[in-house]
Amino acid sequence: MKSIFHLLIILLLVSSCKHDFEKPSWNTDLTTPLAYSQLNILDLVNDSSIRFDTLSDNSLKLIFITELINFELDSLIDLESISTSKNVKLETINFSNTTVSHEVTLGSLIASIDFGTLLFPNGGNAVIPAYSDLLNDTFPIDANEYFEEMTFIDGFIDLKINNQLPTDLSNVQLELRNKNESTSIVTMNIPLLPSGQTAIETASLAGQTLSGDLEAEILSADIVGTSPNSVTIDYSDALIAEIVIRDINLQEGIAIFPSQQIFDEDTVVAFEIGDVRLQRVVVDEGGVEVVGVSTIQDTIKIEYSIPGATLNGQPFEFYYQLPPAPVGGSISVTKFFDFSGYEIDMTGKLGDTINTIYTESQGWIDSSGVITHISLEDSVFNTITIKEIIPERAYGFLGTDTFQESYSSEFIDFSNFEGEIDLSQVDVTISTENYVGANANVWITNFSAQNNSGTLDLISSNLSSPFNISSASENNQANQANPPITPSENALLFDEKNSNIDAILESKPELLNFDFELVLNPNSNQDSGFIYKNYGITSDLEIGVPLALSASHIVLRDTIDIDINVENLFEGSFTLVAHNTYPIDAQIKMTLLDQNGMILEELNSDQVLLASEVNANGKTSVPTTSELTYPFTSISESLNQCQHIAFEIKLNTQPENQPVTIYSDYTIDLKLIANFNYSLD
Amino acid sequence: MRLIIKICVLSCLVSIVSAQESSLQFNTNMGLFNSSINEPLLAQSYGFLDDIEKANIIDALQSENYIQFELDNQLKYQHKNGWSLALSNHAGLYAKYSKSLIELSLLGNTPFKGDSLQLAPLGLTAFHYSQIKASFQWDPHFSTSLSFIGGHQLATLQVENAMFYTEKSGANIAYGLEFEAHYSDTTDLLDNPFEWNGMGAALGFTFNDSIANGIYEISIQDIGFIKWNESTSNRYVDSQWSFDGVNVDDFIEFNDSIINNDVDSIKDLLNRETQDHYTWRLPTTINISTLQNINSNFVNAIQLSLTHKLTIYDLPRVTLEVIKNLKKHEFRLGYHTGGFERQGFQFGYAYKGKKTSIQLFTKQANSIIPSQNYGLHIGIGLKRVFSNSK
Repeated sequence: MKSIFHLLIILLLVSSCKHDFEKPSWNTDLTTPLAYSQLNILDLVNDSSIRFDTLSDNSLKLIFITELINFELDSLIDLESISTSKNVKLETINFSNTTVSHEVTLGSLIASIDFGTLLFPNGGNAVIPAYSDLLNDTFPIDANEYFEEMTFIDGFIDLKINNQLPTDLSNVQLELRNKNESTSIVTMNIPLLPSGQTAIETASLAGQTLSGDLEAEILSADIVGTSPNSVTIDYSDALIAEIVIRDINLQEGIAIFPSQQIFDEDTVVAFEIGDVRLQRVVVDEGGVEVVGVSTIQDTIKIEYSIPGATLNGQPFEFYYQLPPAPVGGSISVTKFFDFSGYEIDMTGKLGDTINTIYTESQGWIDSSGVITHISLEDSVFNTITIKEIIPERAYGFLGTDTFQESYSSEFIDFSNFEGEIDLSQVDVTISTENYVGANANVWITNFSAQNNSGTLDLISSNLSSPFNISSASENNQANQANPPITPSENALLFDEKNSNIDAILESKPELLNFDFELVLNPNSNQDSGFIYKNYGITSDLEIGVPLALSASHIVLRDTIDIDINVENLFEGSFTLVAHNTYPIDAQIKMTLLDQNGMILEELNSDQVLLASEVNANGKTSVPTTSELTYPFTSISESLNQCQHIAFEIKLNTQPENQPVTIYSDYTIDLKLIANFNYSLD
Repeated sequence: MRLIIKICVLSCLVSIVSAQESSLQFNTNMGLFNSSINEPLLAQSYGFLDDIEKANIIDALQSENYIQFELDNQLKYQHKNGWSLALSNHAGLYAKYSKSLIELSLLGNTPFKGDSLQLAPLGLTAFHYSQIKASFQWDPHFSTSLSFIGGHQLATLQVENAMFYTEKSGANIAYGLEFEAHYSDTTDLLDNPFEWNGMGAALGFTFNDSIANGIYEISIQDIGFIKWNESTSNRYVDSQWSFDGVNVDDFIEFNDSIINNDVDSIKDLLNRETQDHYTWRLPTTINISTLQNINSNFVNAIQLSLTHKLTIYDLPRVTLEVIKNLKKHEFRLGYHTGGFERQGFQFGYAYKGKKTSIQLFTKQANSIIPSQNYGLHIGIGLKRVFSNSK
């Protein structure tokens, strides 16, 4: 048993003698394809400035296009802000004829006599005796229902007395005046007013002020009596006074006024735009700002319209209200109304002018039923501003003007090349397109190429005089044609026969400098011109180079952005396998750069991407396959810091010093393979 | 479940045949084996592996290699009437892998450009379960057992096909992969390693008899299954993939995100799994042994055993032992081959007292010779007899 126990202890000790565990790790050699692609020179055209044309023999022609001029003439029709103000005073204040009446009944007269109702009962027959001064009295006439006070420029007041009493009256004297005033407005003096008869007295109200609280006083009125005849006593018989205010022309008043127009104005806004004569404008941006100021103590409704501005057949018009002004003060309102998209007739109300916008405005007061003060001294002050109109297009004579401009255009495509280029053939066209509805003379006064070495001027007879470019034509707007304009075109061709253009391009210019003079409407004879926003006169430089060239040691450089994270990547290589049908050798060098452009790693290959073999016709007969190896050591850190990879590609056409033609079906199949030592654990 | 209990109880009650004695036993057995890497080489395989160490590892490998871990504990009560009841816990791991997989891992694919590497065989079976076993000896020669099993953890991987190809210039890499994998819920593995993730049952049969001057025994154990619960992850993958690099319109405008997209698509392919019940067949063990007594001064008996674990072993494990008894002490020295272990010696010692028996054994008797040591193993058995049969 003891021996068994000993054996157990030994086993325990053996099993406890464990190796200190250290995680195993090792390096392993991995190979993996990373990327593949097929390159065709046509695929390189990711720039709108370059394209390739395939010629009849399947060879390629490089077309490089760069813009030389893009001259817009929008400034010609810049309609700057313009304002016009109008202070509109009330011409008239309308107020309708007003009638008020008052009655003195027989019953009230009898009641004022002692025992009158006993002596002269209603419905009885009696002889009315003669009385003096029985009717003398002052009684109010209330016209406040119609006005509180009115001051007249003109008008009349009729005082009408109708005797419906059963007896004649004599020596009737009557005055009408404002309450509590001594000055009478109308005085009536009637020697005899027979029963059933009416007497009228009219007075002018010119310069008068009439209060709503009127009073009439009967200074004297004698009852003639009916003796000896008895008459039926009817208490409702009356002496009726009627006051008619008519044909009035108010200076001011505090009254309930009827609806009435208070102004109706036409306004003409004329733009000063030199000798440009615009007949029609379609607005892209713009509007009308109206500032209204009123002293009228009532709501003014204003309608504003530009009859000549229409959108979908509807004229431009808007409404707004000026609230009541405070007593003794004024109220101001500012409004802006957009008329983008409107077409404006610039020929005025009668169609006989130019550069003019004709506007109409009306203001009125609605009958509000509220007593309001209105005076002919009240006014409405309108400021109308046509805010800067940016036309989408404009029609008319665009004026005669001369422009001189200089442009510089970067021309980096050839300047990126190192080495020598010998272009066997080149043609360069300066194509000018006129999108303006006016003819023009264009003169290229200078065309030069600039590089580090200096400047080389283009010499050609084509530059000795200006050329004329006719007016563009407008496409049918009803069809919403796009583009809306068909430009007129002019092309100047330069080749190695009529110019030194080949020398210009072989100098690998970095900048093209271009001076020109443009005279618009040189003959001042095109009234039916037009101009569209963002359309002007453009010139493009189009360089056509048949891809038959001999290139030696041409170096292309490009830098791409990259962001890769890898760990534990040690020595190894990249392999670039290329299957090439281009008759061009290429040496490719890659440089890893950090974010500041500092070199992290240079990847060079001793191998060359070999050109294809060509037959007697210079066309590829046998493609070649090349493997370019780019060895590296401990590249993980460099790749992790790498933000850019700079490629440098050195090209040589083969056979040397002999032009080779590039065909559209040439390709390079590329495959990038990584071979690296990777640490695993 | 009720049926299982009824059968157990019935088995216990029926006392047609009596056993010899009543006893309580405890058996434990723990081992870690591999078939190819010996102790010195394993000792070198820590830290950074240089080319020589990688070559040594590769040279040591067979075309097919195995790793095995087993841990078994059992407490058993044997009644003299013939029935017994045992509570046991079993953990096992059986893995096989190819030499080419290790070559690819250690050397990378660069040395194999132009080759198509077959990475199979590749497989893994790892399990952990507890078992209550009721046994009954129907007659002196034949006994049966019935077990109720609680499954704790399972992981299986069976790769039918795994091919990796690198084009001779490296312009293309490809693989073909077909495998089936299942693993039980492991979210609570460390906190609760005895969590029940499945249930099952198993049957066992044992037959023995005399033959000439010896005995033989045939037993079949663990004929059964565990049904793992609905949280079990199941993957069935059959895919081919070929990579020529990333096709970029603009050759120089690629970055790692483009490659990562491809890698992600592969991950998606491999990660397609479902969670559902999975019924796992227990690795049934077939054991055939014969013991022949020998009248010799040096050896008292020899025993030849054959053990086969279905679904695990490609070849059965065969053992030849010589047995020497010295009074109450028994010594066994054997040599084994097959199974998941490297062939080698094994040793056993048993003390057989009247009431108490102790057994110690190892399947890796080579452990004392480092160059021949391919694992560690120890087994202990303790037995106490309470009463003998009449």
